[in-house]
Amino acid sequence: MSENALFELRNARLGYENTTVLEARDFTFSKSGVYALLGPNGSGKTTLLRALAGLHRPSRGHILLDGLKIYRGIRGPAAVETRRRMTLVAQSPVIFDASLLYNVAYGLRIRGVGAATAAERARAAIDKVGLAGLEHRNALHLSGGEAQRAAIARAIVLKTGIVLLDEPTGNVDVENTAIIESIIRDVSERAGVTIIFSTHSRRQAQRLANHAVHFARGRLKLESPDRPAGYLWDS
Amino acid sequence: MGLLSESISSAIALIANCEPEVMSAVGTSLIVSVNSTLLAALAGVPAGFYFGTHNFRGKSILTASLHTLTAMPTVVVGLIAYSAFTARGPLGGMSMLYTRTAMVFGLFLLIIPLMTSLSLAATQSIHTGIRDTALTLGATPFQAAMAVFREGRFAYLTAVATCFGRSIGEVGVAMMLGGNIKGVTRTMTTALALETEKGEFPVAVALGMILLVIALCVNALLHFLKARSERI
Repeated sequence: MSENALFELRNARLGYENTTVLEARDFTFSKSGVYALLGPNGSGKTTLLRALAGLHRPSRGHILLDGLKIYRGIRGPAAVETRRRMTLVAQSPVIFDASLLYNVAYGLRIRGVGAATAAERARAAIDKVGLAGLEHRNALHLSGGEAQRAAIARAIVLKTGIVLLDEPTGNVDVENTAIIESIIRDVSERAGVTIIFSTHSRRQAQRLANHAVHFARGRLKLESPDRPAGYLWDS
Repeated sequence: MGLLSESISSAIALIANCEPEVMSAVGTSLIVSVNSTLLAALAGVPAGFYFGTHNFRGKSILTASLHTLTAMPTVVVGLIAYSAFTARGPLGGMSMLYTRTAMVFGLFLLIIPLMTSLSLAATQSIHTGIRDTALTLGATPFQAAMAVFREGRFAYLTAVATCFGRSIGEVGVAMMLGGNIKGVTRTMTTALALETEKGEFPVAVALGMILLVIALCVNALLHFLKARSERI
């Protein structure tokens, strides 16, 4: 295991029932940095993100986080601790039928953070994603772009070291795309944070990421992982 | 029309004067239906939640059986409970026949399939992503289950209200297990049937009006809770 390795896919096969979506014989995501997962629909980007989040079990092989298997089922303190190191924002985020403030504070409250502190931190995160003033609105009544930003606020408020984003701008307009990209940039500047996001847009990957992972015919290919960011896009 | 309008004005007077016979039937109805609904909610909602969130062998047979049992005629439920409580039945030694306890038990048997079935449907209607979302935000399996449960809270409340309505409006089980004993096991519905048969329309109309008001109050409470929750 490399010192700098965060996620390691070892002979991993991901799929559903008898269908293989993605195979990775030996693939590593390093600590820190922003990874863009690029590939067409159905290439396995979402499946990989779910597997990294511990929600999808490889049908063969292993995915390791800091050298330890990620998928050990959802039960047990170790599994919970692993999940609490990261957050995953889905492409179509699922919003709880409750206020925006409740939604954003949820992850803090289940970690045992007090109500007042959780509310204060949630308000700051809501402000950061540009939704200040909507704290008490039922989050189900937010627009698509607002809901996406709410889901991102719900993730960034936790200040986890790993942030997984599944097509964070896939369903939003240009204005919301700019806001979301600005938030991702902001989060990526925090020390020690690793962001892995999927996108169809090579331009967006160029704007945000310093590593690009291509999904081609069910396999992963990393573009120059150890080179400076600018180099990746020149070839 | 004259008979109905006369009955309504007499009924209003009966209600305003808190006529003991009417109030006794109202009290008995509320006691047996609230208790049977509470018991059914305590058993049926968690059961429906479990069936809705877990996959196991025989689940489809169980679901089909539940749906079938919701349509079981009340007199059949009454007959089953009666055969248990009668002197020669397995629970005959407890001397519970023609008591409120027997009525609560019978009504519980009547509404438990409906409560479980509605709770199962409510759980299945909740977005499957709720649990995964809670897990990705760091929830333990129990916290994730609670997130799903919270999401379905109004559907579960609606299930409880529906079952309460079925319980309080029921005649067959109340008659067979309660025996319609005045002041003891006479409910609004059994009294209403009896008074109508006797031609005592004002009492019957008064009981009918109270039943409607109770149904209205339960629905108004549900709407109030939902509206208040949406404002939070």
